[in-house]
Amino acid sequence: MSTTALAGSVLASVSTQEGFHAPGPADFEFPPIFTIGAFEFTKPMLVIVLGTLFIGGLFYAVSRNFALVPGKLQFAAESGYNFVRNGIVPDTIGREGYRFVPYLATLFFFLAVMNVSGIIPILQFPATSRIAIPLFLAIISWVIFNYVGIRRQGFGGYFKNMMFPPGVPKAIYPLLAPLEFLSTVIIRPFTLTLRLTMNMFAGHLVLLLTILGGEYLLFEMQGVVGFAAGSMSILFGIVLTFFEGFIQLLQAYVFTLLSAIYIGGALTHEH
Amino acid sequence: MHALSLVIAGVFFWGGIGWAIAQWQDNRIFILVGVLVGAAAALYLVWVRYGRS
Amino acid sequence: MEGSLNMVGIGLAAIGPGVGIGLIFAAYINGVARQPEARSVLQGIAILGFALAEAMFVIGIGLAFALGG
Repeated sequence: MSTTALAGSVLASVSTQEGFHAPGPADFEFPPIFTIGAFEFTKPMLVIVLGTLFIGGLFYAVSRNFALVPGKLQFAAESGYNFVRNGIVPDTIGREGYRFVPYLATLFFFLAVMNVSGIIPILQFPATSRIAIPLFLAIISWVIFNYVGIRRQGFGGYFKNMMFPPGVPKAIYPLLAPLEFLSTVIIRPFTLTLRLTMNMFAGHLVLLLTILGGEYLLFEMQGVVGFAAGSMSILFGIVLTFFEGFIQLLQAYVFTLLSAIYIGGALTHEH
Repeated sequence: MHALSLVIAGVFFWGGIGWAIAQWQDNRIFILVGVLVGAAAALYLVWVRYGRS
Repeated sequence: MEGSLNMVGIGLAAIGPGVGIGLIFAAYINGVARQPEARSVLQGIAILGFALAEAMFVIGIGLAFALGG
């Protein structure tokens, strides 16, 4: 399983130290695979490039001969696409949301592949655990929903509808307005980014801990205790890998769904 | 979700105002006052919008 | 007793999402019990609510690691 790959790569660091090297944020930094001038090509970049090639190649291969009665690959790709188009968009944006489906579908597939690469055997690093990718995707979603809202309701109208929602006693407007503005314009992209990044970060850390800890207990510590605890730890690591896969797909879905909800909210504000 | 983001926004906004006043008056108590005011204001807002039925 | 304040923070951060997720799934179970046909509709909403509530705890874990220990 993946344990041997991990074990081989860190056996050096474990055996040259006293005790166990607990995984921490430093394990998310990688030495460059090759350098071009000042540009270092590291493992996260490799994961991103491979993932993008995979998605592009998959959809290109599917779209070459569109059959009316789909074969298996076309059916799988169409199911994924329909999940976004008929599952996410109608409930959140409604009929006019169909022009956002390309962006949302791209977002969903890209995030799903980037997240799931955390449990694929040789790659084993979720590229979305470094904050840059979720940050820029959240910024793109932020620009989209603000731009759509301003175009639909006018610059003043958009902020007026956001900061002074109807149905609220007018006396608390000065209290409400700055908080609503901050909540929509600043905190939304912030929580989008952090939710995704931290889920992937914590998941990867937990997997590292159980598997590397289990390997250390099995091979480095003598005695029955080491063997029992180590095998329990590795078993738990396997269970957690499946759970982590579920969480990764769920986080990709939640990011896409929240982007759709924000776009829908900007398009059809209460008026 | 929106309720939580209102609380976070309130704490940071009024905490920031409190921090600015603290820098001006050179007295750190205003940071605490600002944060508490922000939390209270945000919780009141959440109660007004979502608590009453 | 050793340890860092970060770990105490993680423990405290688990209280809110624990309560929240319990409430969400209690509502989901109630809804399905009253009307079993609504199961698939409610399941999507329950999973979304779970992810949003869990996010706060995971942000706490991540920050505890990234900002200190």
